Amino acid sequence: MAARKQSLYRPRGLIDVLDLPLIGRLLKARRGRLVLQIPLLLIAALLLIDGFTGPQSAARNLATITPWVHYRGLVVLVLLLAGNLFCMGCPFMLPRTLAKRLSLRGRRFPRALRNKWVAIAGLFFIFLLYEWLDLWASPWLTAWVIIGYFAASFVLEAVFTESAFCKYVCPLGTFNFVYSTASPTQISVKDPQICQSCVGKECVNGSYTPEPVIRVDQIAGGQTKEVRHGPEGTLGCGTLLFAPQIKSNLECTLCLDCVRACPHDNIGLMVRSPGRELLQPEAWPQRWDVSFLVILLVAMGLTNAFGMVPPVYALQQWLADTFGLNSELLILLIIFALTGVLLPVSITLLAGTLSRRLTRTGHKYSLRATIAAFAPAFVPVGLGIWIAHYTFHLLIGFWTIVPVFQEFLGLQGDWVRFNAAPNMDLISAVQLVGLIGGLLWSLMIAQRAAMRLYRRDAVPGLLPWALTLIGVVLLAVWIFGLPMEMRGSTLFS
Amino acid sequence: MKTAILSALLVILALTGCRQQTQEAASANLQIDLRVEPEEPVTGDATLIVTVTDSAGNPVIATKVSARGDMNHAGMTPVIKDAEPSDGGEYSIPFEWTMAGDWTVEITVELADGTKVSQTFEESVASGPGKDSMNMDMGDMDMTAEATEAMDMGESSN
Repeated sequence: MAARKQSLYRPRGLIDVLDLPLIGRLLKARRGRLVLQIPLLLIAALLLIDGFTGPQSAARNLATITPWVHYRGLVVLVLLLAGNLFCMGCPFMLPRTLAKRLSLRGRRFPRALRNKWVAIAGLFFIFLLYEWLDLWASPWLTAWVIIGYFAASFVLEAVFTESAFCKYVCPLGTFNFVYSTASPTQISVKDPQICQSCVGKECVNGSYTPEPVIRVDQIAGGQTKEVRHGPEGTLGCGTLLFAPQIKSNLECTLCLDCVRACPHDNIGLMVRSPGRELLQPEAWPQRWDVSFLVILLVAMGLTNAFGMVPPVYALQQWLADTFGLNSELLILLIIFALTGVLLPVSITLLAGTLSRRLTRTGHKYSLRATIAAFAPAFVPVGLGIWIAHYTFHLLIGFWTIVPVFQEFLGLQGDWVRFNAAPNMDLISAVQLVGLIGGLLWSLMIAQRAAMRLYRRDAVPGLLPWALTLIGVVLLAVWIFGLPMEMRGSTLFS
Repeated sequence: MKTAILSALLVILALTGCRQQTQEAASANLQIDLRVEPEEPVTGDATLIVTVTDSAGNPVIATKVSARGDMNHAGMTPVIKDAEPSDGGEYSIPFEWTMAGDWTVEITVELADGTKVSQTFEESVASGPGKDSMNMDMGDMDMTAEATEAMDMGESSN
């Protein structure tokens, strides 16, 4: 039993990234996170300056090129290949840290909001705003979104004790949380026995105190260990994860504060098989909010891509003509609510119900438990859709950042040299690998879930979910096969 | 550390003042007009007819007239073309709308004294028959050749 628990919490292999020369030392250093945060903060400053003062042409402004082309494209690839490095280097955390030091630290985030519903709503509205306000076309508005992020993270961290912004609100972080579950790295402890005898639980409580404190702990084997806390110490885990119990990346920002705070040097960033937790039912909570977060992100991925192809304009016009609507926001709200929420929720509930009805053991599991068992299967297919979409933009416009930056610096933008024709074969190959690879991975996870739940009835139990996943990918292939057409708010102009 | 960050920010701020600027047409007492053929733009070949006049309506002879078309989405490759020589104040620029959607066309006129004047125009381009250029792209691979041809650009003019 103990061995099974150990394998649940600790990734197999136990290669610790933090043991690597240079990289490990750098990341573990007290201010190691700044190595990523400062460059990203400077980039954020560049975006703000260019967004507010530069040319208001999306193609020629860092504020639009960097987040909408490079950030999005790189983040999905990094999540798949390495881990949640963008949360690790998040520049919005810098004012957050200041706010945390200034805060009274007396209040937790409201209990009713300690779930993923706010994050789901945040993702929904940011994708809606993206289409309605044409954020992709406006450096000025994109700069305001960045300011809004800094302000929101500062305020929430100043008011609440835990990292409420990261854990419950931030749409970017929520996206990263979900797809970091497919990543090949995870925070884990080296020896669980040490954690059992740990007195201070610094990984979650932190080692920061305004005045220096020295504590002598009894540790395993009757030995003692001197533990120092003080102003140079580290805040504990912002999202209140207890390192020895971490089974999933779902709420881990990879801040490594737990690593720095641990007085026993017992926490590492372990390499694991990619998406290991997706096959472990105990690793994910059986909660509606978590299940729907994963599933709705797939739907939002399709809706986001659908917003770039001609049928969406025909649909908008049809809604306007048929129902006499003259508000683009209202029309987009209807489309997003239907395709991004109502339809996927209905299909999920239907698949869950069918899965239970078609199997003899299905009644043993509630609808919530059934959907929670299959929800992890939507991670790879969702990631595949986002990769297909975002790497398209990244590969099309990768080098355009060079002339844009040259112009920012007052130089002549070398658009000829850095505007090479995109290699459409490569783009198509990446998209196909993303979609087909995601589908196969998802089907494998769903098949494992069906085997676990229904055993000899696994095939009928799997069928509704397999059809849903295949349907999702067919829809994605259809959308990505359509000609791209980017329009602003011209419907009623 | 704080000093380094502040210094970097100050350098960045200082650099923003270095951006190359072209003069607006109105401030140079010039009128730049753009006519697009076909009149209802669709993806594919097009011709931009640029007329440059002074405040009295007289044609202005420019040493170089160029057009730069950008999609309104960041990261899409621009189309940059130069006008064919003309001495009547009207310049013809062979162009191509590489994909449907909203475009910003910047016309830059270089005068004999070296002054550069520019003006931007918004164009909305529809999908043309058989000319769906920029699939997202799991569709027609033949677009590679079209896109490549469309990116046969002249020198950037501003």
